[in-house]
Amino acid sequence: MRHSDVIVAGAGMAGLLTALALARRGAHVVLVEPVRAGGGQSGQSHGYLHQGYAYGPGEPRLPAMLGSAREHWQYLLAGISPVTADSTIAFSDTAAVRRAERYWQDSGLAVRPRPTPPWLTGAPVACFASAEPTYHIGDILRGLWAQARSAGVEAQPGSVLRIEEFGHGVRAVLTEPDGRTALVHARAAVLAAGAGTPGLLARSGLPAVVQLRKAFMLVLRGRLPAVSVLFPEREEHGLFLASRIGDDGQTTWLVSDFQSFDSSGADPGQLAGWWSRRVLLTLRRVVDAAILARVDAVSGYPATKSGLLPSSGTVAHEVGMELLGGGAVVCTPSKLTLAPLAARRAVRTVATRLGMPFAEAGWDPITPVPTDLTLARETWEMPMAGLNRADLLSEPPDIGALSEIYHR
Amino acid sequence: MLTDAPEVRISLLTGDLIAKTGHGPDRLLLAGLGPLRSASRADEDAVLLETVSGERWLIRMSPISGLVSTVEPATGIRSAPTGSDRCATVT
Repeated sequence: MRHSDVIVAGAGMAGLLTALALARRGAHVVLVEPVRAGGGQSGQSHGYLHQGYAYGPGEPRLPAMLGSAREHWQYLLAGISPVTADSTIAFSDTAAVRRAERYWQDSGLAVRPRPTPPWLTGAPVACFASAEPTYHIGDILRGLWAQARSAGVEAQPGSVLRIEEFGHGVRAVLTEPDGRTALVHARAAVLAAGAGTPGLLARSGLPAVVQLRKAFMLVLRGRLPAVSVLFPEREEHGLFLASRIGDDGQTTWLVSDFQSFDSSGADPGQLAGWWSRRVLLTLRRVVDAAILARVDAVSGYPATKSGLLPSSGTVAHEVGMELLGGGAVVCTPSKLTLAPLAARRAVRTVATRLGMPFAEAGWDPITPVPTDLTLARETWEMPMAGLNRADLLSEPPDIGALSEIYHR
Repeated sequence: MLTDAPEVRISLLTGDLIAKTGHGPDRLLLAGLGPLRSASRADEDAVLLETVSGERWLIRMSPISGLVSTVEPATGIRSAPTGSDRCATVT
């Protein structure tokens, strides 16, 4: 059996931030990841590290949490350039624009008038601009991964099958890539496995405190402008559109929305195709045809959203939970933006258990790392099935064809 | 209505499926693709939508999460007439 101070399950944003901060305090950290850094939910993000999006009265603590997270991000991202430095918020419903403007301002985020951009067309829209940037999350993951390795975090390919109390700590049963099992004894465990956390909890006989939802991402590639926008849709529902610029100079648009679906594992049939066709129809209605004509490929992937069952308020308020008397910490923010808060809470719990000082998290500004030096990737950076030369102007691909790209 | 589940309302204008929770805000279960000719219950956990162009789709919801779990083209399923007691609320 191997020994360490801490086992962290999952090398997404929260797991990396947690592992890094604990290693900087002198802890020996084993970071277990089955795919690659960012291979789960963190790599499925739309790139907004939210500062003020329209979280309303149903999530009253969220503006303060976003504000606290923003302080961490401003420090962490001092060396990372945003893909887009501001966002356009556009609704066809003027009242919705006014409501959103108020939420943004209440969150301490400056807004300013903005005329409708020329690439938005068709349906009448009202706009304002916010200083909300979008980021290439891959840059952040790669930088954190490099920092974690430099700090001495031990990367262990594989997955955590289960954890259990063992002596004064925990014992983790790992499944290695070749199928063999291994045992690691540690003084504490951090469960930051995102979509893998419910299964890990169940196999460990621990309470089912994490819920999952399914979502989808639509990916458009071509010679597209780098933009970020919240598109008009029904009432407060909308589409997030965020851009990434690849090594080949092509721009990728990642389009997501607020809808989430059941994630029980049942065959979703053509749900993805239904969803993505609806998104394409909306884009056709509001994006200038000359822009859509530049789309070379349409693809997409299913995404998972996880969150702690809310003990009060909403799932967005929850970032962590202690189990096994503090020997295990579930670290599962429902929003990527809140990952520093979730990591900070996990670090505080583990540091206390290990008798380490805790004042601040102890992260450094992230330095971008070239993609050829690490395997850390966002999902869109990986090879992806798609429909090439799809004609979005005359008639979007049908539901069946779109469903296929999500099944491949 | 779904057993122990929110009432589901379907807009014939937009095709949207919306859960009426009674205590919280309404929840959009599935954004529609446009106007519908009809909407009806297929069984306890599923609704059948027929578009104005005649396409028929079976939308199934999880009895556990209350969220949409499956969308499939509907073949060989007879729809109950709109307005019957087997219908979700149609608006």
